[in-house]
Amino acid sequence: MVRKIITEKDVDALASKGVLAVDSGMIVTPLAREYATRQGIRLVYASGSVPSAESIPRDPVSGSRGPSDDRLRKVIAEEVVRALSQGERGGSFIPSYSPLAEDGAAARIAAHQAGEPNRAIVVATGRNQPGVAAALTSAISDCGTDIQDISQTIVSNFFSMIFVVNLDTLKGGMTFKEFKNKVEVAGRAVGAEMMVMHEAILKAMHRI
Amino acid sequence: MIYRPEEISETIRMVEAEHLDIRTVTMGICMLGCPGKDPKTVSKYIYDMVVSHAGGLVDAAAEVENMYGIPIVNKRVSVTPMALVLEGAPRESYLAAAEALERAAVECRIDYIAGFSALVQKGATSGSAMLMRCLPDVLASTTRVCCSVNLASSRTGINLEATAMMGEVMSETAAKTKHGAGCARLVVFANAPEDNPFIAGAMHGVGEPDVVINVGVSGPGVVLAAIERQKRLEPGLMDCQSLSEVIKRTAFKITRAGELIGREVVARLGPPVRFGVLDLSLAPTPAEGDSVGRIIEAMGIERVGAHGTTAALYLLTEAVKKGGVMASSSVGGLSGAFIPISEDAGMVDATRLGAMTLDKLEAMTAICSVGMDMVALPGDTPPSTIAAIIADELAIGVINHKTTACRLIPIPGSKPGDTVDLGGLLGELIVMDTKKFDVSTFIARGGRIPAPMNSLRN
Repeated sequence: MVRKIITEKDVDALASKGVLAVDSGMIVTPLAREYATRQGIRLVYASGSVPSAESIPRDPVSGSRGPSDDRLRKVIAEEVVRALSQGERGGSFIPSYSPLAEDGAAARIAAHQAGEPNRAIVVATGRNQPGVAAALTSAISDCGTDIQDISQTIVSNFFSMIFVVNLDTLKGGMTFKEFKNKVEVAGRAVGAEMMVMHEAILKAMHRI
Repeated sequence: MIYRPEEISETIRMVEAEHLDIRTVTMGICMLGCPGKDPKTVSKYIYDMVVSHAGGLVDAAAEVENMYGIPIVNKRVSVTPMALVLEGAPRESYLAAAEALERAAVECRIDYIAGFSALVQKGATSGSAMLMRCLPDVLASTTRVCCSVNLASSRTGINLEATAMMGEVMSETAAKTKHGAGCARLVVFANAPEDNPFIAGAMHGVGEPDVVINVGVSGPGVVLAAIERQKRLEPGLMDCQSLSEVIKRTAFKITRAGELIGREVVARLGPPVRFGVLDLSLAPTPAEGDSVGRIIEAMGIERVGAHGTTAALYLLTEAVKKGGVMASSSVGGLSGAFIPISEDAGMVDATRLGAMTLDKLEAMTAICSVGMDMVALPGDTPPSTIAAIIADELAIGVINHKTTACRLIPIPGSKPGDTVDLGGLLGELIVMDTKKFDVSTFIARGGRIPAPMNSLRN
């Protein structure tokens, strides 16, 4: 049913002898009500129409305004009784879980990192000796990853090598931790100090 | 190369030689859903909540640490102020809650859990008063639970009645624990922040979501090294703008690292955990070189605490905040510089040499982020004097619209100048001298010192 909206412009036309009869097919806007009050026009609500708060009769016992039938109160009371009768909850309040072991943890972390560069920075320093570069590069390629960039400096007998390694092609199932561990072990075997970190930390600290 | 070798080596140097670390990753957990007030329900709910949410915190942090090569020193938990959770409960429930927090901390492998707290800046409810009276017993019977009470705010003034009570609580706690060490886990605040990740004053405020991760970055060592390096690079005397610039740039990098780490930990923990704030505080450790005092000294003050210290500290904290705010849009917590006497090698030395006194420390707290932190007092200090020291500190916070706090340790049987080693992160305490004049009448007045006004600020 489409109700008729009574605005302040309609009040004068509809009122007769200082009374405006509002039936269930009408909605009186607040401005119209205010206008009617100012003009001394009384709004009379027919049964089934929506009354304003002022016209709701007070409860003779509590003095509060409310619907004359107590259907609403009954529904609420039933809900409370039902909740109370369920009694004490047994068992743990919250299930215990480890977020890293949870199903979908890997997918969640992957989604978080999507769009970010997925590269590792491998830094090796130490006393120069044959086979250092070979040991490191073969460890990196054993993990299925490829080297995108290398920087190397040798001062007297000491070397410093930096590899940028693309992790997108990391062997199936291999984690960053395992990759790091493998490369570090290979480097230390040939006497190098190793430092392996994800590129994101450098991006965070050195790029705005 | 996408990153210059200098940039890569700078990051490595910061971690390996200059103590760059993430000082704390603190998980805040809302406890307002506690379904009952009896000791059994309270104990079970608190334990289950902490363990289910923070059980994986240490593992997640370790994985992030491994990936980015930056150590996360502390993994901790803060909870909703217990006075709000337990209002209306019997005394046994308060003790059960503390016991449950302690047990949950052990289970989660975390060293401190905070939030046994009350907010009484305008007046104490009967529940808050009960919690305050329980504090000595709670601190004596636990080793990981941290307690705090907010006694004042710029909107309400100072609750002097509760302040007097806390003076007594501190005395009693000191008497009940060895070397008064229980007091190292008890902080009183003015304008306590609701998202501070730093123990012992951490709490999970009522305006916070269910579970958050707040990160406290650190790095006094990195700032100190940057200043020293710049001094060698620049011929002649570096002016204050250059000094500020060096600190800002360093703070920027530290903060960016902190934000990355925090967000990565959150991603690993998954919903409902959210990223909260990054606290920019420079937090010293007893390790040599990782000291805020030494930064002040690097600026050309012979000893921290000498005249000029307050100005130098202002330069430092402002520059840290400006660099940090540029780096992250989630800055919160205390954000400034911590100057705990015992946890900072420079502050310990200065106290021993007499450069740092209680009065100078009080002046410095008008500038830094916290307040009178880890200050040892003589064993015969009356509770009214302790309360008066607290009230002074609260006044500085209330009138300057900033957070101030007190962590005072009256060491039983000690005299000014005595040294007590609390060990670990708490460090070495040197007992400071207090004034011996009587203030008990003022403290006994009780009531509330009315709130300050916002105009006529001269």
